[in-house]
Amino acid sequence: MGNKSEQYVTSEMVSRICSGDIVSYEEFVREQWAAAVRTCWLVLRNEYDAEEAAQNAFINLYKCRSQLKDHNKFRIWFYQILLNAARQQWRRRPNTASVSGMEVMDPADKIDQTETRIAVREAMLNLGKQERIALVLRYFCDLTDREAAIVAGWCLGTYKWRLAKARRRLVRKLKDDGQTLKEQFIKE
Amino acid sequence: MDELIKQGIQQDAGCCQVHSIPWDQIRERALDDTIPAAPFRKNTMKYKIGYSFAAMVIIGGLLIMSGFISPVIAGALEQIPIVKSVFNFYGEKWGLQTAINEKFSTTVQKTVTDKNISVTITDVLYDQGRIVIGYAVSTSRPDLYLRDMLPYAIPLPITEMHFFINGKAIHDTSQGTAERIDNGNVGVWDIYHHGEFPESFNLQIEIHQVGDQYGEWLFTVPVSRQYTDEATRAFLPMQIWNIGQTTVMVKQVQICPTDIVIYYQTIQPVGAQLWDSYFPDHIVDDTGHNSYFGPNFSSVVSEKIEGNMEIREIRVVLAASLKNIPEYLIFAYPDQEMKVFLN
Repeated sequence: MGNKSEQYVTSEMVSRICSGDIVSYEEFVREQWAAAVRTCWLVLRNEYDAEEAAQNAFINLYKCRSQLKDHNKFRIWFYQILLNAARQQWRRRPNTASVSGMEVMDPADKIDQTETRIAVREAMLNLGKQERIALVLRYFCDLTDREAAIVAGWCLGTYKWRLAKARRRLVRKLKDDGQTLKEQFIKE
Repeated sequence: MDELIKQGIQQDAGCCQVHSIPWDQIRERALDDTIPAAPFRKNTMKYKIGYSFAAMVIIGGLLIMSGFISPVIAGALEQIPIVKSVFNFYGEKWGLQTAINEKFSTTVQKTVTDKNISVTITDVLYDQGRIVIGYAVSTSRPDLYLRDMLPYAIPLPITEMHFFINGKAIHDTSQGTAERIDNGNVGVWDIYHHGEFPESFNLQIEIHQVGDQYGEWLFTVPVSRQYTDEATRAFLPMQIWNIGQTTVMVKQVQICPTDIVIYYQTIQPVGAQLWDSYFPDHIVDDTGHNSYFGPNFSSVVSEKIEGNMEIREIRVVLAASLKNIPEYLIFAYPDQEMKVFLN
């Protein structure tokens, strides 16, 4: 989603969705489904929960479409709905949040990319929910600090503080793993 | 590094197997008017607090009414403490526990209602680090109540608050947080001042907009740091250490009832990263009590360049409820810990 979605969600489409046009709504759902599920998955870390949250978010979006006053804020508004749906799902099934699947290496991945991805995943699993949300909004959804704070429902300072804390733990994990890799390489 | 994190997260997200879109199901549920939109952030804990709050108000009302009937009950009523404190709600999380326990905060309980929206200032605390204001906002208007998808019921961001001292606007950094209760929000605002305010003054709070609703909610709240100043202890450790290329000197530490205020000086080569170098992961006292939680605020008081070195004076305020003056504080960095002795 993020910035890429801007290419698809034109103001005309937003107007049509808000006026209840089911065809535009379907088009929007089909284009944003994968990104919405992945956003929820990064927060919830469970595929089934992520899909359920995304589904609820799209349904809520349609049901609450008349509440959106400023169509220019559609993107932020949708992220708010999506994040709230993920939070609700988390509350329903909090114990499924840290289920980690078996690592499958994509043949297209380079080894260092896979290591980075695994290190990021492990670090994110060890983060609190709030810190994880801050990272996802910043690095996956491509939101500005101000937008992310609005989406998360936090003050700007709180968001920045949580992001800095999460980022720092991630950086440390990446550096530690990088060091381990380097040592292994030298030994070999 | 930011790019690396971004790539890592995006690649990780790509590992999530996305199944086909359950469009028929989405369509059916979206068009089904009998199914309401999912409630926003239903938080049972907040609801319990909301119900408890309502119950207390009812019981309190009954007791006060009975006070008119019985002089014995009327006498007993004077002994009942005011329970509608937002500070109690936030307590330890925002470093307010000591303020509550030691009665450093002032109970205000002033309510202004306009356009059927009531804003109540419940508590205030003023010390060397910050001014903390507890508030509650509620409405009986469902159009406003469900207006937004934010985690609180009524949009009242801190940008809509305007603070004044004797008519002069306060431009210091402020931040806040809010939690949803049954028909509104409770929250706290923090104003991180720079220590230049008088010991006692009247704080004026002006709110002209709540959500899309314009109105006028004006308050004048007397604040004083007389008692918090008496409980504040200042130390001059002048302790120096190096973090990477940065030399850090802790010049002054103030242990306030609800904050720790630290004055640093950092000296580092021009262009070195600021935030990564001197900022400890957390600060704990000699008992291991983690005092670096919740809100915090750091500001560069002054900066200058001498030769090829940047010299900054930095002030950090940490929300902390320390029960006693510690012998030392531990500044924990990723690779080392530094003890700062307070003597």
